Amino acid sequence: MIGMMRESMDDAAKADIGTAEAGGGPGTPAAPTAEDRFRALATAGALSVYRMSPEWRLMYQLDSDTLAVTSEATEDWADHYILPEDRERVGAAIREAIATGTIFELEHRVRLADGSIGWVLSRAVPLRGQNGRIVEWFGAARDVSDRKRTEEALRDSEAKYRRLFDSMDEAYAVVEVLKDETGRWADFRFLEVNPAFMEHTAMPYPVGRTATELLGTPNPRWAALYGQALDSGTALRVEETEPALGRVFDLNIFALDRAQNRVAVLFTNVTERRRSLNLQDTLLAELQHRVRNIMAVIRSIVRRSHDEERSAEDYVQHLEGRIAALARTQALLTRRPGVGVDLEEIVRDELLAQAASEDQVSIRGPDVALAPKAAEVLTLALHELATNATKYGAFSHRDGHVDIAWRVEPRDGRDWLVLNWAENGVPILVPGPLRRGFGTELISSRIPYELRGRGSFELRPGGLRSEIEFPLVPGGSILDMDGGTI
Amino acid sequence: MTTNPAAGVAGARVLVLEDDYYLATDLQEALEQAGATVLGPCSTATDALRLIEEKRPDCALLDVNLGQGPSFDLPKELSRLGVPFAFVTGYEGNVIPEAYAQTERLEKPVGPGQVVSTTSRLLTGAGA
Repeated sequence: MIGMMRESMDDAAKADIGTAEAGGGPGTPAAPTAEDRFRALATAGALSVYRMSPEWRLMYQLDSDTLAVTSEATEDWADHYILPEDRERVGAAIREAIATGTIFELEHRVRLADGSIGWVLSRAVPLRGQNGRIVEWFGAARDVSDRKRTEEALRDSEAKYRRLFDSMDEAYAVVEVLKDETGRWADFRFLEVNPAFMEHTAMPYPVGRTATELLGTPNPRWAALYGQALDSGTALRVEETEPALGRVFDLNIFALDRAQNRVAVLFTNVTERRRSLNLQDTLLAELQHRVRNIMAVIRSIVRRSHDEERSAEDYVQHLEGRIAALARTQALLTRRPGVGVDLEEIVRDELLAQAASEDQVSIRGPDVALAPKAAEVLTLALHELATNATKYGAFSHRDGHVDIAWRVEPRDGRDWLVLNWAENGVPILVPGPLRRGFGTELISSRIPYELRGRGSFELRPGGLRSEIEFPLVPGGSILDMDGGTI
Repeated sequence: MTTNPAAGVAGARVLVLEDDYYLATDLQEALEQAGATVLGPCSTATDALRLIEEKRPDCALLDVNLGQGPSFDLPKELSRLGVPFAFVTGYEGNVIPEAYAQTERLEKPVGPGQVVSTTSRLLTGAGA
């Protein structure tokens, strides 16, 4: 195309020189004039052709299908064709061409005959007289508006995507995947990232550096994934943990340029989402476990409550009380993680459940936070003691009184809770069911088994005494979970 | 399945790991009534590991409890010793590691009959 153009220009130049030399002398009538050839060139080649004075002050002539035609020498040609904001640039190119006496070549905007704006690739050659001085410039401008529009659309589109990548929440990166000396995908270099990349990874700006440089260790897993996308040419969707960053990512990996080993990766940091999904799974499993366990415990309590009571009414009453106490413990187990259960609250709740009056009770002890398991067992133990007191002990007598006191003391490097239940003012000591059966077993066997402590009873003048002691262990609610065991 | 599940259980030494006292003693009672000797019951895996150092059980029933910190030391040790065991669990199968996918599971709540028949299967090798 360019070759053709040059050829055309050469022809035109010859024609023009001929005109200048002939000086309007007689020509063959049948032969086309230089003027005709000039115009023919313009229409045949979809070119605008023009002639300029040596200093480009005057435009002698311009013929075109798309630009306004100039047929007489005019000084204000620039006003007609060149946009004001482009004049500086066009002027500079002209000055350069004049100074060097070489070809003028510039792509610039032009005002078209219909008033709209187009683009031309304009080239002009200097035509020299016999003395070697430039006589005029002969130029041809090709309309490149379509190409320019395409380029502009492409630039717009690129800018749009750039804005999208810059503003989107997802991280985006282009990497060049690198092979080691054995030809295996071993590392990768960051070529491009968007601002979200730094947020999702908490990495410094990585462009130009390799993953090994950035993370301080080789990352064979990532290199293999990116290499896989290159090898297969298909997109990968994976969730991966990055140990060096301690994060989990959800990634879309796709080959961008297989010849240059370039891969694009679009990803988000899903560490929190993954953690909460895992927690949800664990909680669901734990809930299931607890419900089944509690059903098993109730089944066992039902059976164990049976043989100690005389009447069905008694049996039902005891059973109801135990199940209610068990229900109270369940609320304690699912409190906020890391928060223990307040001992005094448990004591008061169990006394309250028996409708014991304030003046029949004294409660003394330091603040103690119990782990869920200890809270559960102690609640049930206090329930048994309080129920017994209501039916047979201190709460069944006007002058009866229960003194509940506890202390924390160090033993073998651990803190032990020592709780004393002391009834007073019970004139006739009745060995109630607590002497045997469910409550007894709970305090004297379950406490050692589950809390690794001790529980004992003693019937003394004035009423029942019980001492419960066990080591305090840390541990909040069942929501504090970080693993499994058997 | 044997027609008389209790028959194979009598005289056997069965390790029981269950952190709930009631459930542990229920298992113990069911097994003892069938004539078995219970090792434990143990409320922690640590206790159970200490116990099997002294007395080797013929089989074991293990509660699965995720609340106590991650350790599968006991099943590992029992496998090493060649002692058959079953899990007693309130969890669905998906919390049990792949390595124990074939291990028999008793789902809570467990009745005494199930305890004895499972133990019998473990002892005769009919369990998985």
